[in-house]
Amino acid sequence: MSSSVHGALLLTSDLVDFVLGPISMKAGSCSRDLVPSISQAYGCRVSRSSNGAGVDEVCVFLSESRSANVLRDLRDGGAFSVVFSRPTTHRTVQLKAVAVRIEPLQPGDQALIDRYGLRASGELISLGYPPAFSQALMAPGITDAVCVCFVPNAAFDQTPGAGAGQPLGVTT
Amino acid sequence: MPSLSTLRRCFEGAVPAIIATCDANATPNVAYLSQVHYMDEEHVALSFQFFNTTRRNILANPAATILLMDPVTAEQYYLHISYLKTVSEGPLFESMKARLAGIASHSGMSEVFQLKGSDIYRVQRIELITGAPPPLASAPTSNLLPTLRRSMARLAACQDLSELLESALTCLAEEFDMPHAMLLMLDPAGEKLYTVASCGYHHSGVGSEIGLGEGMIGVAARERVPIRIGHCATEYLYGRAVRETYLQRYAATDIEMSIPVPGLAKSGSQMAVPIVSGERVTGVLYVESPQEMRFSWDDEDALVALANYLALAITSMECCSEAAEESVVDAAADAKAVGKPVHVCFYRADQSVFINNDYLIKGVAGAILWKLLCDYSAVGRDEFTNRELRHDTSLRLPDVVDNLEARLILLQRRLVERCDVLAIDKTGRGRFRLRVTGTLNLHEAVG
Repeated sequence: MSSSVHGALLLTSDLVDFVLGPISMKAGSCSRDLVPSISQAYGCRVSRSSNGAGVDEVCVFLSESRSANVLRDLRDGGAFSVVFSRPTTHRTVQLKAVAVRIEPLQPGDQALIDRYGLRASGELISLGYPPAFSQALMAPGITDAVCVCFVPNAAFDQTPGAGAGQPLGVTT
Repeated sequence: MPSLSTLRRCFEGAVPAIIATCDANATPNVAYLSQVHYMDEEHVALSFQFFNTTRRNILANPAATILLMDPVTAEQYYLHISYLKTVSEGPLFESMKARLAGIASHSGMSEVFQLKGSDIYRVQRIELITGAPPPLASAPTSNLLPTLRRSMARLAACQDLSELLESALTCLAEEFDMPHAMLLMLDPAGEKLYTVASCGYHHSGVGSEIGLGEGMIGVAARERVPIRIGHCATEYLYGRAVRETYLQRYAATDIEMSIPVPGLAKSGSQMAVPIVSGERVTGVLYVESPQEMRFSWDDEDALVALANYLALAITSMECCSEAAEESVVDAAADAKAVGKPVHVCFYRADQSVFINNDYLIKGVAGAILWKLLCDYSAVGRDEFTNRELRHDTSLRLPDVVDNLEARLILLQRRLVERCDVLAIDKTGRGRFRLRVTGTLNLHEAVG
């Protein structure tokens, strides 16, 4: 679970561990004329916010060319959502944010993307997907990644089952 | 822009598709999809299982985008779609419900996944996601058109229904590499399908019955829709469904009269294709495989085409059979057979026939056998025609479509499998001989 601080969510260590795992990540956006877009993300990092409030900031890595629609919406000030799902367990969590900051990769980020690709494709291979396919899907050699950084203001459990759709960590 | 049909393997569920929607406040939502169903070149249907954010969003704002992944080349596509309506009954719904049951069973979520409706969307645009590495090479897929052409040529050469049905199964095994198959015909009352031919099973199951709407075969017939599942769901395993329904409906003693439906012990993939001629369902073509995801969209297309051809051929043979039948021959058997005694018992209530206390057949086929045996026993006749059976009111054949040929095939095969002293041999078009190699002892039971 996570707790809410000043409209933002403080991610629990369990949730942080989960989003940093070998999972599938899909990012969504919406244009001003209410057309949604979606794209794949290739890993993330989680850090304490630079404003010192102790709020967890999540940065997901998106390919500039493969996420053109999503990045266009975000640069236009649109809201953001990311779904994290682990194929082996079906555990699924969605984080949402009202605004994002898009910035170039920081030192070490490309290594994070490469490491994520290796682990995430390994997860698919363990499920029986062909290695070449798993790598093409999760580790396609992205060279034009950018960081989409956001402070989540809502989190939802989307694991199929009775708890699906329940907000995570909404506490006063 | 690629056409929707060229993306159909993206819908097979090997890699789940994802949908993005947004509400009136422009808040996006991303969710995994259990099933994307190809309807035609302009429409897809998505499974509606939960009243969730996606559901709320599309009701408020119909625009949505799906991310699809090709399970072979790893290419990705956007499907820009717009919600139209939801259906919660009928062919589309039943077909998706059967597939969802398979998916749920495969992922251990049978209790979680229940189809509430099929959400129909118009596809506005398909977009290949660029900037990706070159697509992975895909192995050449087999072209099913030559297979279909050869199969139709084999069916076209058949002279009668028995040969046609047998040839259809041979084509499935030899041309399509689908060695586990069966053909079921719908009885004229439209209540039950009965197995008339099968291949690839330990027991042929000829004569076994499936109620309309029972299991995926019964649903395919009732809804006139092909159903194809790549992971088999327990609730759709027809044998079990049939048996359970039967037990609920009839006394346990009646079970001894039921013939087990053939089927693989561990079925991985199943496909049931209705044989439809105009508005009328003639039967169902069914194939299965121990391998999961064995049958593709292209296989479904090919089998639907084959079933359509089969429907026309069956109808054509039914229309022509009576006209072509040869004149009645009232010949007496040369001599009544002698041999070991054969005790035949007939129950008029359900027209069931027992040979030496073992159940053989019931219904119209049972009544036909009883008539043949009575005539043979009374006046020594052993040659019969389809025409006289068709005009015999005691058999209770319906006026328009009687399925007589199929019932005779069924009777003939049950005798081959279950009785070594009685046989039916075809002697000409619309003519056959009853062969008796024992001393008949006929008894009509009361009740």
